[in-house]
Amino acid sequence: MWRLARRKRNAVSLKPTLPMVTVSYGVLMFAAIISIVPFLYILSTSVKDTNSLFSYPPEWIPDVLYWGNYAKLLQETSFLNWTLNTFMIGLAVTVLKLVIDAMAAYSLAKLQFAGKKTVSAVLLLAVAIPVAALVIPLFFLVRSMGLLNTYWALILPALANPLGIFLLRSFIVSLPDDLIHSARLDGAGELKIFAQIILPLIRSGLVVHAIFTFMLQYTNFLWPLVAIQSESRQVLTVGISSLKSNFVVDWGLISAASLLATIPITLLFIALQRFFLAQSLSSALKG
Amino acid sequence: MASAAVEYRSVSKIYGDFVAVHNLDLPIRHREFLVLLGPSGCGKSTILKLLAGIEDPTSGEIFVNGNLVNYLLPRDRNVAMVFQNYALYPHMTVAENIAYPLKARRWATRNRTNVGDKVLQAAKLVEISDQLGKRPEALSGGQRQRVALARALVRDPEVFAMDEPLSNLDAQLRDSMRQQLIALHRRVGKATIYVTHDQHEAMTMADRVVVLKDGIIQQVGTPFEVYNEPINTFVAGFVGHPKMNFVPGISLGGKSVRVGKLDLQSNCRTGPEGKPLMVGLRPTDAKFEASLNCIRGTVAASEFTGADTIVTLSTGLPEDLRFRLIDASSCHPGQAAAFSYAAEHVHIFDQNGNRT
Amino acid sequence: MTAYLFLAPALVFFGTFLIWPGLSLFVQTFHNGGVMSPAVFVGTENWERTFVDPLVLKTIWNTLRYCLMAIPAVFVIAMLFALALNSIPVGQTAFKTIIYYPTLQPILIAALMFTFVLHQDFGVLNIVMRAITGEPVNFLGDEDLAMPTIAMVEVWKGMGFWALLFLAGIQNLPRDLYHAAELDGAGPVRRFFQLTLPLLKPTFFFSVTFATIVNLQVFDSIFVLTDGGPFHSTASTTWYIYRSLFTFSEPGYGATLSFVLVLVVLVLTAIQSYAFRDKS
Repeated sequence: MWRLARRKRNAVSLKPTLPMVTVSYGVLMFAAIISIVPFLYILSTSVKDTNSLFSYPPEWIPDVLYWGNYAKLLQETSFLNWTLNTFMIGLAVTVLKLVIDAMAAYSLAKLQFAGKKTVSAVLLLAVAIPVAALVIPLFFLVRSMGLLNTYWALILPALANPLGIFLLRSFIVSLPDDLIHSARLDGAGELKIFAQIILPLIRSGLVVHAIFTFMLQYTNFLWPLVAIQSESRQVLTVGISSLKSNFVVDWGLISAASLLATIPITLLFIALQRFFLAQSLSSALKG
Repeated sequence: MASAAVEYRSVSKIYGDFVAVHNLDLPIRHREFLVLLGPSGCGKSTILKLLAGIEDPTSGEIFVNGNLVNYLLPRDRNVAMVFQNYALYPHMTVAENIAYPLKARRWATRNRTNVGDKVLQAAKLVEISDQLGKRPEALSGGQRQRVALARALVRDPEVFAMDEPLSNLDAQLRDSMRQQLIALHRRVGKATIYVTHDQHEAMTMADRVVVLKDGIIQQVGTPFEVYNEPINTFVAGFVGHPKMNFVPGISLGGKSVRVGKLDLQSNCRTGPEGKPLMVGLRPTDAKFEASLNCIRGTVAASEFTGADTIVTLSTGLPEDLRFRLIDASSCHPGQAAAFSYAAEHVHIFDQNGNRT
Repeated sequence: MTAYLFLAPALVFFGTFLIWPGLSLFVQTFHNGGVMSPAVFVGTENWERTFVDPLVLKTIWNTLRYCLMAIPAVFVIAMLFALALNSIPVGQTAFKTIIYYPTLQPILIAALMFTFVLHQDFGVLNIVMRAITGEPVNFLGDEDLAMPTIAMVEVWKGMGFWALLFLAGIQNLPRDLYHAAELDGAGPVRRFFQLTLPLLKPTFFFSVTFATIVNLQVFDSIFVLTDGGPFHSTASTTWYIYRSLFTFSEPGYGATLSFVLVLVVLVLTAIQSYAFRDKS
């Protein structure tokens, strides 16, 4: 009886001690501050005119809010075009890739065919190939297809990334085989099994995949920098960075652009927070 | 009507160098409840999967109602299967699960009948009609089992294939489901192939039992035949609880055998004098009395199980023997004891383990 | 048959935009020109130049140096955050959300933000520095400071991602082991070093490999913050590849550099797989 009580007390004491909790909150407060302050800083900068920008000591909240940077951004640059391009391309890549990868993942996870091991091995090896190293041959390939400086130049190569197949495969592998056997006996063809049984059951995997794919597109920089020359067809990342290459750097403008660019993705994050924080990608890749 | 509901002709299934099913010849009669019994890895589930079309045979032919089905898709074979883990579609309600075989076949458009009526009819048959709106995750194991049965019933198949359908239920539920399954089978009246590793299920449910080992049929017969005239030591040992005792013996000619220093009479011929044999004695057939046909030794242990007592006897043979007694109040460890057998209960096997 | 049909679309794109460019990359290392005029076969000229070009070695060294600074730093900080997140009773989701936020933004926006935060005259960090030391620090203009500064920006952007990944790893560890360890008298520090770290080995293997592959391609932040300078002290291999194509119009040479990058990545990945192999 006494031993049991002692064990129980010990088990409860695995909860972190008070000093540990205090230190933890300290660490996290620090983490939160360094995460957020740069954003607040550019927020503050974006509503200052050039004079108050360089005032010393700097004011966090300017006396007069100056909206000129935003007006200039929307009127004198192609910012809205860039945003639209980014989201259109991101959406196109995400939708196409979801379908392509889910199909391939189903095939690799549940269907039998000759050469399956070879295909998996080649796909896995391809994960280790640095995309940056393929920029030059891709440039010539896309140019020879006549797609340079078009949206297709950004959409098509993005569909070749094999990571998503592995992610979805791990979701499909965990479904019991008998579910598929049962559907086959019930009279469903392969396409019906895929659409009516597999896809609904890996919904959370599809959402994680979609987020991952979209984020990869949204943050992409090097390839659009190489493949798109026309300013109006450019995506956000490259477009905003081009604001800096002027001789005199307009910090207010850049801050306004950076801040506006964060808004859509922030909204997406709030809406799908559960999936962003799920991290099933990592667990899937480890498997 | 064809002579058999299902017939396997020389069917083999080989994975790499593992033979799962070896040259299976097995007809299954109409309206029959046939149980495939054997330890895990004996090929019994594979035999079901071959019938359903989930696996293709390496060689041989399978007929359903006289039609060759080897080259038919699973859905065209008229076979419904109930899986060990039920394989219910988690994202569909009970009603949608039961309706899926009809929906996938566009049954409603073809028959101009209401799918809902069919679903309700099947659900009523397995007493699940009050759960139609729920998802499988909200159901108990027994209820899921019923849904899986309803999904199989709704198709009106020629044959039911059931792969250890009760193995995930607790003991009490298993007992009642067993009886309900048999009752259902009588009402529906279709041939059913039922796979299990549980000899108790096999004995209580089967019209005929097929005992399998390493992909090869050991014996086909009624539960009575399999229990009382096991064809070899494997069947004898696999069927019956506690397990049959096997002791080496030497033929005395005629129907007599010598075990250690004792002579036993059997109903089976024991072959020429001096021939080494294997003698099988069921623990449940023993009588606690010293008479002519008996085994003597010292009681090594006695385990009281409630309804009966299992007595372990040391006899000087390499292995101790076990006997079941209803009343063991006068049988204590350390004490000398004798257990007698009627001649019909002394099973004789030759050196290869086959019944003589 | 069905299996191939399901696989076909993926394989088409995979072959066209990954395998084919991979193969033509090798062919291109023996050519030059091609941007304005047709490509010309030049034999092993590019390769010979690669071996004697001091900037090649410098960019490889810069890239490795960057990885050695950024990856351990971000892992240690992220692990600290993960442990802290794991031991607080309330507010986990709120902190997770805030810490993850920088990860959402393109590194480019982080870099732009930091150009400003680090600015010698009016950057907020230099205002702090001036208050402490009396002198501003030229973070991006100093040959010794530039690369660590870039690493710092990347750490800032990456810490939330790795913190959450490590947290997921920690929370998936078997609780019973910890209770057993505590009954055996192991304190929190010993439990971390003797249980948590060894048990997280699979997570670390994935993380180190993934981080290495990504960080060896470092480009965006360098392009925005320093463009390789000062004096090529932040010139990464990818930066050099980009410059060979666009500034120097030497795609053949760029292809050779790309090939070198592939080799570096493959060799390091192989070494890591070997180091993390299951010794049992």
